[in-house]
Amino acid sequence: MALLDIEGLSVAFGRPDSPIRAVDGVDLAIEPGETVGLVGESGSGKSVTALAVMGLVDPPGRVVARRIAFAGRDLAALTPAARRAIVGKDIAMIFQDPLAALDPCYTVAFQIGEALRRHGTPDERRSARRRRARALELLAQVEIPDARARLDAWPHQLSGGMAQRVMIAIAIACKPRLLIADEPTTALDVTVQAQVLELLARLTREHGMALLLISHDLAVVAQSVSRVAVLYAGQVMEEGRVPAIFASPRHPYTRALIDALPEHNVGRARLAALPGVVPSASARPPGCLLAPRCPRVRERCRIELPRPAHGEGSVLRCFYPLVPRGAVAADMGT
Amino acid sequence: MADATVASDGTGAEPLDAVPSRARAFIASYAQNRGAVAGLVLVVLLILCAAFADVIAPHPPNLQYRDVTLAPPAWADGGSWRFPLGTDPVGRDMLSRLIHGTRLSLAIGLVSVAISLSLGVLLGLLAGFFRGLLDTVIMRAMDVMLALPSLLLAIAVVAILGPGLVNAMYAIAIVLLPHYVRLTRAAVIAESGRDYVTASRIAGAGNARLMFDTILPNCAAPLIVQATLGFSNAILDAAALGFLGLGAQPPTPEWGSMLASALEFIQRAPWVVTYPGLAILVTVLAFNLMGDGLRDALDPKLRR
Amino acid sequence: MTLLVEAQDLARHYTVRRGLWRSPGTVRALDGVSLAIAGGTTLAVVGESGSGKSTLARAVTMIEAPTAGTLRIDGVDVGQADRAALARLRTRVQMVFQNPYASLNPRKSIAALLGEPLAIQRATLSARARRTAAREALARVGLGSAALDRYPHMFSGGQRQRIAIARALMLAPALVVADEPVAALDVSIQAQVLNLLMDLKDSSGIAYLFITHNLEVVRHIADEVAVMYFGRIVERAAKRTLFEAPRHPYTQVLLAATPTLAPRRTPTPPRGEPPSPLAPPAGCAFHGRCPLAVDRCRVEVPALRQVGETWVACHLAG
Repeated sequence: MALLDIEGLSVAFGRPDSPIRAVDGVDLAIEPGETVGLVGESGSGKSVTALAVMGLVDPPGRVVARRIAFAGRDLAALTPAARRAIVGKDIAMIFQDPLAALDPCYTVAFQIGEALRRHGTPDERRSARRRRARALELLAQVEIPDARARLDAWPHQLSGGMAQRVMIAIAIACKPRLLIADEPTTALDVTVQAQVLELLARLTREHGMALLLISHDLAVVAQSVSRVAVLYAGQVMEEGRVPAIFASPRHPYTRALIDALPEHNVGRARLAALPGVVPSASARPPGCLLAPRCPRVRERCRIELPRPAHGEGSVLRCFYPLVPRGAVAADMGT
Repeated sequence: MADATVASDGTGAEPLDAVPSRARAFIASYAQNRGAVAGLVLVVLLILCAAFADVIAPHPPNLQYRDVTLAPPAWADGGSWRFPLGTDPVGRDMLSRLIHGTRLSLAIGLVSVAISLSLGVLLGLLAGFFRGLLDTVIMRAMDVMLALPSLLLAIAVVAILGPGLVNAMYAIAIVLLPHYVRLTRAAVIAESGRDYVTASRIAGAGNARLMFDTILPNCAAPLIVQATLGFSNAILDAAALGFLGLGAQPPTPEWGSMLASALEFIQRAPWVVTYPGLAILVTVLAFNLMGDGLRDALDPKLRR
Repeated sequence: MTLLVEAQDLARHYTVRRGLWRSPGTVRALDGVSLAIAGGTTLAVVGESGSGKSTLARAVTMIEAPTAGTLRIDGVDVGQADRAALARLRTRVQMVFQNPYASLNPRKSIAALLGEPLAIQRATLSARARRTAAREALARVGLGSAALDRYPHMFSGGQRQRIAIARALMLAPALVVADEPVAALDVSIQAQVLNLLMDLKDSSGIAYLFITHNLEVVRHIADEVAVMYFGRIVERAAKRTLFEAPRHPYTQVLLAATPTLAPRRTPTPPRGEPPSPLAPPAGCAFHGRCPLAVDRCRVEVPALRQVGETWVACHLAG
């Protein structure tokens, strides 16, 4: 049974008569212990998807889903209190800017302690000394140098990399089964990024934790997860196993993302850039959302919206996908 | 200029969204706040009152009807619709005096705030832009002014300059000054570090252009809000000064001095005290509501 | 040929108050940086936070005077230049900033924004001439003249960055300092903007001082690369040489830590944390994290010296 099972998730903002669809019919499943990536540019809905799972989408945002099930229980059907018991304990989340996510008025030990006070073992909930000891353990687990001194540090005294480690410590304090990381390394230097990604990989391995990694950086996602879903303007365009999906992408958008990377354009004077911009909320094309920009567009793409087609370990939303070398061209006319 | 080669990478002239103009967005946002709209309506009514006072008021404000002193309002015993709100101890029509008083109160608010704002913005700009010694000197001076209770400060200024409406306006302007200086300075310091200011510097902008053309327009929002709220402060302070006999001198129909001359009649003829007080209340409330509405409509938008 | 930009031992120190009882500390944001940029070439400066790259940008664009060292632009010593000379130099160097949401004045229309440099430096131009120039600049960056009367908040990040580039071009500078110009943009927009920058270089012969932390971008656009760490240049070489044979351990660490799509390589994270700017280590600033450090590294600051085709500041290189 999937640990997290999202079916038909849609999140809309703005007025009901002219909604801005941040997420539009997204399906995603994560097995226990699996690492999954969510890749997309701004406006793709990747962060909003995570917020919807966590129940953090405030009105006027409207979340509609056939199912958002965690370990078999539909989260949307729970009372807010019941949902809070799961979210934060079994599902934890870390965010992009660690210095903004930590409360500047409380020490590191206090903030880790807060998570333990809410969701920890009965012993931890009672005893402050126990909480402090556990906080020290956690800081050591996330490889913070000089952990004992850092316990009483204030967030503004921490560098970006250390603050992110503290955030991770808070997130894993209650041994979550799923960790959602929303652009965890975007604000960090590349050397620190490498350290944090390695830390995440180690923690997921050691604790059997599932990881949902959200990023716009394809390379970061490629090295950290085993399966990835590519989002565009709120819809899943392609989903597949890593590295296959990057080695031979089937959706033109995935292909375009890869082609735009400087590393794929070595020796060329210009980068292969996809022209145009993501469709705005008020000007969504009737057919495939990529149609105005797609180099392979045909008539059908402009009028009809492709449905996601499920293949073996993959999902593809395209009428005329790219064909991997050697395979037979199949018309995905669903 | 360099040759006009077009960088053609397929993007060309991208279609720009039809975005509602800033003004329309602001009006829509302001209109959502019922209190603010009520405040605005009241303020407009007050302005009309002041502008057309000569036409609206049933009697000249200073004309004394010696035979009808202390007449009660129209709906009480002994009152008549000739003097809808009654008359004061020397027989002047209350309603007309109140209407003409609107003119004075608005004028006080406008002049005091205008003087205070211009001087305050200038000092705040200098302090926030140049920092260092100039900043210290200006801010310590402002700190001293803030340390004195505002009314006492106003009284002190009027004592030096002599009583009268105009001097009261100066006094109020001085009392309001430190707030504008602080506000402007804080906004200037916050904006000075932003990239667009650096960009103007790199283009060669001198200090004057940086201060007035680049930074100041971006500090406008909190200043506009404070200016509106300053109106109500000014009116209250003027009323207090008038009440103490230091502001408008009789027979000027200023609400505060109307209160002063009527205090002893509070038992016998409460209307002589109540209506000027109500007028002050309503006016201050109107400006406060409007100021709050402006703050809500302006600030989040301009935080972009 | 006179080099367009020549910096010798640039240093910028800040004093930082550390409370009433402790003596003020010194932050050496720039600690002896020497570099040269020839006209029409792109020098990429690579570094992480605390390396001093932003301070370098501010020094080269003459916003902040260095505490020591000389900076020559077009052969003119900036520190000695008088007002008129400085004004003239201003037209030679312009800048594009990282955050497209903060680098355009929210209160000015695009036409006013673009016209401002001309209004300051070429005061004899009429308003109409300025508007025409603005229109031409917009066309060069791929935006239509409909943008002229709009305000920055009506544009997307990529469009704003184009406007920022158009503004940088208004005075026809010889050097554009680009401080992480594409870091805040989406991947496909990044590619568009980088292409634009390259096209402009080809058509106008502009030189770039391109500051970035992204080695992949450097690989694409740079002619020469300088790697900075803790206020110093630790390696400087032609692009090809740097990527094929990096000599400084920090450069090697950076390359190893950068994730790439293909070949799919798990980046090797380096050890340790960068030192605090208020407590600079003795000797080589990198010795605490360097896998090759020896005793000499802990005491002696390595000088930048030539080894083969590379300039490198390491005792063990070559």
